[in-house]
Amino acid sequence: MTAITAELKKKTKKVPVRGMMDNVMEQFNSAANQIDLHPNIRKILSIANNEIIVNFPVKMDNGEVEIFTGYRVQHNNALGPYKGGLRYHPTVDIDAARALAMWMTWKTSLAGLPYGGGKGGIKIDPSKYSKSELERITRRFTFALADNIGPEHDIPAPDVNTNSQTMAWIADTYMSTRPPAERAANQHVVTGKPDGSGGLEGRDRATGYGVYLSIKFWAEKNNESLKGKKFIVQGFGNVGYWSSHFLEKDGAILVGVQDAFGSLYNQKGITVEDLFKYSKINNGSIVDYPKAKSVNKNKFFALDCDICIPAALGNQITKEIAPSIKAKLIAEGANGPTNVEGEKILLDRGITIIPDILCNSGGVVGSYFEWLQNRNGELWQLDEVMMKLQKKLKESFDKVYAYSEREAIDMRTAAYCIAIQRIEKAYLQRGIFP
Amino acid sequence: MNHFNICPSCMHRNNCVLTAQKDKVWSCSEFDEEMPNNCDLETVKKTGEPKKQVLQLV
Repeated sequence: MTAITAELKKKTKKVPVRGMMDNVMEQFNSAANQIDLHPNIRKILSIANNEIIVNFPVKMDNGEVEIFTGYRVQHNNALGPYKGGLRYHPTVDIDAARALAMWMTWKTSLAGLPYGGGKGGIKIDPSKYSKSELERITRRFTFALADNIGPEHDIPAPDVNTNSQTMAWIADTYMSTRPPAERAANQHVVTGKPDGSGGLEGRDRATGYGVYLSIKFWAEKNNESLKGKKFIVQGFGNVGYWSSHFLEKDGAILVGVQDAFGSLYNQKGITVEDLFKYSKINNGSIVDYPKAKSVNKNKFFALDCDICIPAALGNQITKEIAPSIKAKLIAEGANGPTNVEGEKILLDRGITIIPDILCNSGGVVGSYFEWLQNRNGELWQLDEVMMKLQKKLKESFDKVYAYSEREAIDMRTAAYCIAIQRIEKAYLQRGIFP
Repeated sequence: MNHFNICPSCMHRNNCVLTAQKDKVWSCSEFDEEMPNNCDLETVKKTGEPKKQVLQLV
């Protein structure tokens, strides 16, 4: 590479390091060392390209005007438009958006998508506002972001406290700001739209299906069958439910479930659909499901099983929990469920971890399909979506698995190495302007 | 302490069995935001006869 051989500056820009950012930087640096990442590219990737803060006024139902603060961090676009969620939460700030935007860059790169990474949101407690106020806040935020988002530039998606309705408002507002003849061609400014407004058929199950496929691919590589394999799942939301649904269809047996309300266990098996129907009529809770026993929340991960799917939240498998885990495979449906100390113990014990960045990437691949569908003016059927998803996820899984075998490293490090190398390659081929 | 944290605004925060580290959660499948108490403002209540609109000349 000739374009960026200038002497390195001794000083690099400092990234504010705090909590979440710390973890993301640590993972990045560890993988960068492993692949001996070009020092100039390390500098570029250590910091976000753009950080946008907008303050905008919105008229409330009572006639008063409130000022809101919105953020959008665009970490890197070497591989394509920025891609990442928008969250509405009182603790949203630029630091949180920075860390999550960087993480999106690795995720989209590993999934082999033509996307970079971004993240953003509004500092707001949505429970304090009416639906019509939330609509006006969303629309005014979209207007304030203006051309900082766009179908070929930065494509937001749902995240904490935002949903398909929020995306529909954003798409409608953004399209309304375009000249009439261009409006319809801008529908893919966001993904995660309702299925009647350009959304993807099967988007609800994409992440869970991806978790199931990752497990299936791992079993195939290890000449094992899923039939009769016992699994436990933490979290019975979208990801937990759909991954259990597909695993059960393939002959695996759900023996333990934990949600916010409690933990269940039945060594003989829990029928996924029965439990799902029960939770629907029980205010979303699995507690007191008649065909399983309640189990102590602290003993959940120690349940006897072959596969463990933490599909709820981060920091679950810690150094205290890891020694008691019986499963030989951990499939990370949630983001960051295994912490560094926990992971070390698991790897020393010979337990395989399919890392979050790979395991739960079905969601972002689904978003890519929605974007493609809108962009090409097509409507894809569910079976077509599932087939394409399987193809895309197999590609990523095979790459990570082969890399980890070849280099004798764990799958998480392998995943990060592949993700960063793909971006490095783009920079090496293109050079740095001017 | 992690800066970003979603537990305080989750409706399960007092009884959730998933984690004791409720200051470190930035993403959770079980997260449920408390519903806005005035979310039905959208529904326009129609009572009695609709008021006749009178066109006024200015």
